[in-house]
Amino acid sequence: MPVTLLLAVCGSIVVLALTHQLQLYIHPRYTAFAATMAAVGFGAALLAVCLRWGLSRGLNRGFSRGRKPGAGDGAHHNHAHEAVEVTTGARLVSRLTTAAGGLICAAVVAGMLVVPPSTLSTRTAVNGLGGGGGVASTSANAREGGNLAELNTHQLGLLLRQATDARALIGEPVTVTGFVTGDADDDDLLHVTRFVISCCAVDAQPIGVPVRAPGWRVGAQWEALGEGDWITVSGTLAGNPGGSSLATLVVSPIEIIHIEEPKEPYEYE
Amino acid sequence: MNLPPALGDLLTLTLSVVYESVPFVVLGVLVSVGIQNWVPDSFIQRILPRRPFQRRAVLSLVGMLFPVCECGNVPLARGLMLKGLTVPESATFLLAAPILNPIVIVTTYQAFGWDSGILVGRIVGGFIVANLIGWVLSRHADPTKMLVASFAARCEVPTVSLHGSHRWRRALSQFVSECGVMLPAVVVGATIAGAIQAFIPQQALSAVGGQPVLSVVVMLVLAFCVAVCSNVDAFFALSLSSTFLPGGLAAFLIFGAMIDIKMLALLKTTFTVKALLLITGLAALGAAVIGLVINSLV
Repeated sequence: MPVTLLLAVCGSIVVLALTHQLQLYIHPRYTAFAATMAAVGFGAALLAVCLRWGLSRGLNRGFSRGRKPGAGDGAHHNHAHEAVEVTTGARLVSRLTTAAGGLICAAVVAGMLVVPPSTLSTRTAVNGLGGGGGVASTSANAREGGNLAELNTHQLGLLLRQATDARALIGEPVTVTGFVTGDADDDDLLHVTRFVISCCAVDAQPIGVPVRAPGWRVGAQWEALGEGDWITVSGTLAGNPGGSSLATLVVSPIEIIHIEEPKEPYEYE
Repeated sequence: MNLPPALGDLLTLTLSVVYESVPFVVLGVLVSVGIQNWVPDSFIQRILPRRPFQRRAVLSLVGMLFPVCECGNVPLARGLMLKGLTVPESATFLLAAPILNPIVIVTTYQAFGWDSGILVGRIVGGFIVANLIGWVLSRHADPTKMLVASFAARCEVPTVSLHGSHRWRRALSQFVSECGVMLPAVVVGATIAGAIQAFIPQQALSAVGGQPVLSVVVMLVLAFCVAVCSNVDAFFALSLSSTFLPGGLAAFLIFGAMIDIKMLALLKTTFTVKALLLITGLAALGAAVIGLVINSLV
């Protein structure tokens, strides 16, 4: 089982890296390192399997006969001393724990091999902490030389939350892409949201850009939208005319179009 | 095959931690096996000071040479114990290395600069907490009792010096065996971390972010539950900086680098439950004190 798990996990990482899908799980800057280490692990596991197969056919009798007791082979010692622990320790607890661990590992490997790679759902966006932390260096300089248009969705979202002089941004054209989440306080607002990843999907924080689009759920002005739909919104920044939301600046849309989920659905720090 | 959103998120979160951690575990095992088979015991004993306090302090800084994610440090610490280092010394290394390494220092500086004492608190606090825990463990009458029986038995057996193909075959066997111990722990720990992220809403935590004491407590809980690598957890903490006080962020960055659910699962392969409870409690206490001090000064 240990070799199987090593082969499955490392093989999965290599395949995902080769098909450019590993970035659905981890930051792209780790892809090369992860693929390299996974290839090493996969190769070592395969070599071990081959050597063991050769051993079973009598090709490596010299190696196994040549080992003295206590030669430091971890696998050999683990089995011997684990037997002692099972007979003297809490046997039932140990077996249940081992069985539970084995079931979890089997379920995860099954999911790894059977379920297609996927992104986090809007459910995580709604339940998440919502990001909105310190201003990133690029967004802090966004007003220089009119480069607001160069900001991606999460950078623009951070800028709108942190802007000290909102009036200076009113009228600026923006285009944002992301998936739709509703505003908790204002039915006329939707948020164009992206997950931002620093390390891997487990630290993904949803950051959104508020868009004022009355009746967006029922298609009052544009095609009806649902939570989780991927859209691109083109418009201009405007002061929030009212409602109970805390957003002071919102996007006043000129165009909202449905799009397919992009191949790189996350944005990265 | 499409899963319901909750299960789909659980699988995605679990696999993200597995795919992030396993390469570092493989690297750590490679280094550990290399040390076990190619580095003489006498070399390690020669380069370390003789006094226990100084040895632990020097081992705290080994992470500057091997900036590996905390997952990779566990097999390395096991390898060092097999080479003759004591349990307190290896524990000090395990707790300090994820913080006292150049990548973590640089990313923490990139995220926070010198603001609010977070960077200094993390580096100095991490060193102090790790060495304090090492000292406490050294007061135990028999520190080897803090190891699980199977690993303790391995530590007692001297490694026979091999050469040529025999050494390579033993190294390969050790590599596969060690990965066989580590990987199930990574998967189980990742599943628990993923389940917490998938099923427990985090929004309730932000309500207490502005309170000096509760912000520290909440951030300790978050650090334990969110299995983020110490190399980049500063950016994760940065995203929370508008919600939580600096002391809470510092406590998160110290405690989270040392102990989280995934690390506990990995450490369970080596340390007893009692030892882990002691280490976790002391790390949480140390990080909390530093966090509260920072909140009182800022």
